[in-house]
Amino acid sequence: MTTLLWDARFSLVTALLAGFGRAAAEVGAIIIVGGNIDGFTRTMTTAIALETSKGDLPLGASGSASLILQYRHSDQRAGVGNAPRGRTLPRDEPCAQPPRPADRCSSTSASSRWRGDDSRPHRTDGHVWAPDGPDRTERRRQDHAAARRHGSHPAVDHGRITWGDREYGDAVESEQSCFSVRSMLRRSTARQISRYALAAAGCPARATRWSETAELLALVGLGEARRPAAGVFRVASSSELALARALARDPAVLFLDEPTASLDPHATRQSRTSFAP
Amino acid sequence: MLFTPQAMVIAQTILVAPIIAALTRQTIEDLWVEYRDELAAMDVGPLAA
Repeated sequence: MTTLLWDARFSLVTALLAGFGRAAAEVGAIIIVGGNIDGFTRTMTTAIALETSKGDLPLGASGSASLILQYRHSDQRAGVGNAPRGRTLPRDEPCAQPPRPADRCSSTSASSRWRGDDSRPHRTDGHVWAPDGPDRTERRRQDHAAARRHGSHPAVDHGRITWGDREYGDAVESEQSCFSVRSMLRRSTARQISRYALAAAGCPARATRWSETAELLALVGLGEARRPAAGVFRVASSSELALARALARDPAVLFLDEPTASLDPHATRQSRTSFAP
Repeated sequence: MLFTPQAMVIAQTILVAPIIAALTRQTIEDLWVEYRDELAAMDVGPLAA
């Protein structure tokens, strides 16, 4: 709730100004409840209506003019607040998957995933991880099914995870998924996003959170790129940022699905070394 | 109650509240559609999200 309200603050100011404009221009509702008593309940709009119907057009017109000026002023302010929303970025870019840790995950090629290979991880609490289609339809379907089961909070059902012979049972407290949708990266800087992730993961002290953030960003090779808003990041940087966000929870197991997809060879090599030097 | 400033305040509030509520709801809902995956991934609760 608070995150959404804070990130929507400019649009919310616009909504408030729209409401103010509606209230300031209102005549009828005030007249109905007995407005327009001179010096008591007379408002600007009722005064204008009265002066106009009395035939005192100059006074009415000047009142209207000042009201219109006020109105335009509030509209302009609303426009300024609205500007950052106008930028469009590609949604659903198949990026932002962090590099694969060679020692933890057996390599799962795309073809074996499609043939329904049993070596892929699956949950033993009833629902199996199905392979995800290129347009993420399967993931979405599962998310929606999970949302229906668990109320409005999808994809955080804690099941037991097995991989080959090993079982990551109840030890996997900090399971972390890493999404390729870059939505949240849009308005904040890399530092703010990492710090938010740390706070969400329960990193306690405010003072240490800044140093933890710097450490996290340096770990994924984003130490220099803390300043610009993440919306203008290259694909490689946003995948590194997604990795930093996932690592903020200090997960026991990290699942990486084609983490270097849509990266150029140089960025692929770089992200591999940044993860497993 | 009629013919008082309080009555006008109440009337204006009744008039404006639905407009602000509708605009706010629309904004927050659009943002929620964008953010829900990531907030769920970070295990952010409903209140803090």
